[in-house]
Amino acid sequence: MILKPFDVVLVFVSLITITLFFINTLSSDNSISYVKVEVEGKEYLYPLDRDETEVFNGSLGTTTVEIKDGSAAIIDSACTNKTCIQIGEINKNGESSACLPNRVLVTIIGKENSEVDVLAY
Amino acid sequence: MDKEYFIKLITGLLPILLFLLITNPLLKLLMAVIYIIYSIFSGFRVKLLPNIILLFSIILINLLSPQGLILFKIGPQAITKGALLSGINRASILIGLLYISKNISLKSVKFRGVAGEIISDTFFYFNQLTSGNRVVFKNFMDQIDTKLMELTHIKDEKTTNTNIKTNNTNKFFLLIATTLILLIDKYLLTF
Amino acid sequence: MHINRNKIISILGALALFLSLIEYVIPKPIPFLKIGIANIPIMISLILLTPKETIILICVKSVGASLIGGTIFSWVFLYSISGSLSSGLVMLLLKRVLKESVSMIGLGVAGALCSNLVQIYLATILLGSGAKFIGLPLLISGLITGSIIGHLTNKFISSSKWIRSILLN
Repeated sequence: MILKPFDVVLVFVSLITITLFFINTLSSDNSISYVKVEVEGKEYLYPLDRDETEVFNGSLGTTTVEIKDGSAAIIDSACTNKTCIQIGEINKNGESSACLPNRVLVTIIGKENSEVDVLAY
Repeated sequence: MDKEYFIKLITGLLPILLFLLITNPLLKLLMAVIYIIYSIFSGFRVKLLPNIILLFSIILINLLSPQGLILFKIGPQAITKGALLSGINRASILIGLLYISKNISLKSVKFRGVAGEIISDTFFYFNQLTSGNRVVFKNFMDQIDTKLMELTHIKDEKTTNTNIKTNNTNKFFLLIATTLILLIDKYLLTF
Repeated sequence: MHINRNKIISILGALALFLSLIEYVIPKPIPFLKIGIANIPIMISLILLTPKETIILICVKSVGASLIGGTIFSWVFLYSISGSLSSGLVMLLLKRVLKESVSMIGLGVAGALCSNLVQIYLATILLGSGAKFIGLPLLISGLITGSIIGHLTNKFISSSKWIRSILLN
């Protein structure tokens, strides 16, 4: 037998702790999502779980996208109406934000070709 | 602190720190290549193919987690610029540090006190582990066991390292080259 | 032949650095995910070294591995050493209390759990609350890799001529 008595106990304690942790964060979706930014015919991908601020050059000027705490938002843009900033944070699969005058589209996507996508739609 | 010890400390540790401060992955790669070329000139036997394989496999691994501008797509996998650069960065760190440590024997730097002795011995044994025969994954544990035995029975020749003659002016090359590349990285490149 | 105690720490430290180097090259699909092969020497130290010597080994391993990974001057180092120290202390404590009724599998699982919990907690302070989303895959992988690494360490300890020679010393 490769397991000693307290190995089993410790694995069990570990499982219970993980379950408690899981229940604690159950409300949130755990799949890795990406932020897809489309601008001027180019596509950019950023993992949603890594905090980052990126500046994109659109047709009018720059649009700043901030990824923070698992959410993405357009925080600054060279447009006049600023509706994109009002959209605020997006974080769920399929949600999107856009600065249409500057032609910047920000979309949250699941890990590409994963089953999560199939289930989500 | 005697002068020789100070020079060894500076020429040994400073290039490592400066190398890690280079932020541009391509310059880091260039630096790693310079270390390799310098190692060849210093008389080390350098095999290029394993380094190239290492570089490409680390890049490949990093490409699996997309980051930044999509350059093109292979099937479902997006090949991104950020992931590519991050792969080059990691591979360069790994290769670069390997060849710095080949050139500067940290063991020749005498750390003071018991703690210093443990740290410098650790780097000495680490160099022995990485410079010995290539470890293959078959019978990995047995090989490690054999290596540990070998390390334990190395005669303490490391304490009589005065016969290992290393030229200090040569050693400054690493420091100067790394400083130059770091200056280019910080002041000339703006992309 | 008498073998210096500090020499054993250095050799185990060097092995930990060597395994860190291998770990660094292994693909990681999730950021922060680790296999933890560099912990094998730490677990070996539980039976070869005194608690104080084990803690010295953990510090040597953390500093050295951060130098190799190029992270010594970033918060990643703080993250790594707190994870290593917490798992090391828990393993030391458990080994002391449970002695022969626990093997490296149990210690590996407990160590991985502890280091992951500390690191998730640190990450939520340093990176914001979003960091806890990576917690679950981290904890589950810790359970799996902890038991695999523990099993490998068990096998190594029982077959290693080196360990036998040190224990007989």
